[in-house]
Amino acid sequence: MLEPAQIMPPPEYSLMPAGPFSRLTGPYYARATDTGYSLLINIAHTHLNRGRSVHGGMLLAISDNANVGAAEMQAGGAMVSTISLHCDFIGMAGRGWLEATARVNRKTSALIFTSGEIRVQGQLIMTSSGIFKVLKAR
Amino acid sequence: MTGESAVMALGYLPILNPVDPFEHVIGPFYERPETDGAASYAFQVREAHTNMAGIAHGGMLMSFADTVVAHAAFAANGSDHVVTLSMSASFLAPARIGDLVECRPTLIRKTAEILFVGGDFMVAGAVILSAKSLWKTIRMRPKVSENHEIQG
Repeated sequence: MLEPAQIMPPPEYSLMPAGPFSRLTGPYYARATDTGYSLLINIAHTHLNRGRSVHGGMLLAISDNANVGAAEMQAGGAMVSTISLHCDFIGMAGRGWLEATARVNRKTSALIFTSGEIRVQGQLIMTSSGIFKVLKAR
Repeated sequence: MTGESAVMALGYLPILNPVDPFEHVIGPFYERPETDGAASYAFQVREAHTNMAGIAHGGMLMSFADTVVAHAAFAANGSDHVVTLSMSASFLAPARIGDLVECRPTLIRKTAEILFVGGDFMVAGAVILSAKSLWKTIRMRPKVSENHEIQG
């Protein structure tokens, strides 16, 4: 488990490939796991709401990235686009490392079904499930 | 007319000094009071909101959706505090740089404990994202202090 004071993620994580929005709200660190995909993000002031907990929108964005990450691992290099994402807000977090994990539940030729969760210090913060469309490689 | 002036020409005003630091980072968001006391919300997609495919990131659209339904939930609940229980979003079409994403959220049902809020997010009159969100009412205990402040 990562301690809040730890500045860098464990060495098995590397910077997640990110577009402008994920760079704006990151940095995210990523790795493949035995069961899917894992993301780490160190909570900063810019992620918070007025109650000094991580903003709900930020948790949704992290869940989207984690589920997309798991889906793209299964998509064989193709990109995916989110068709639906459902998230339940189970707990709150104000500091430390968020770990978002996600796995693929089913893959068809056109669609990928995923589920994920976010924890801080082992405590469950959010659960999610998503459906993604596999985009044709250009 | 482009950018903020085009948004404001539609009657929107920027939400200045949002109380949530995260909204400073991903904003600005705009609000327009409607004649019936409700409100509409908008943001214009910037390059900073995009993903590696060059379209608005799904997380950005959901962050905006969360903020919009939060305004509707807070407005419906007066002085009581509310917290998010769930957010469910269907992504119907992409939003691109320069697009104005607009939503007028609706309170679908309010019980003693739970608020059901929904919103269709439109670009140029077409729905790009449809959201349903549940919120829980947290009753504030009466305070002795006169400086009663609602914690967000």
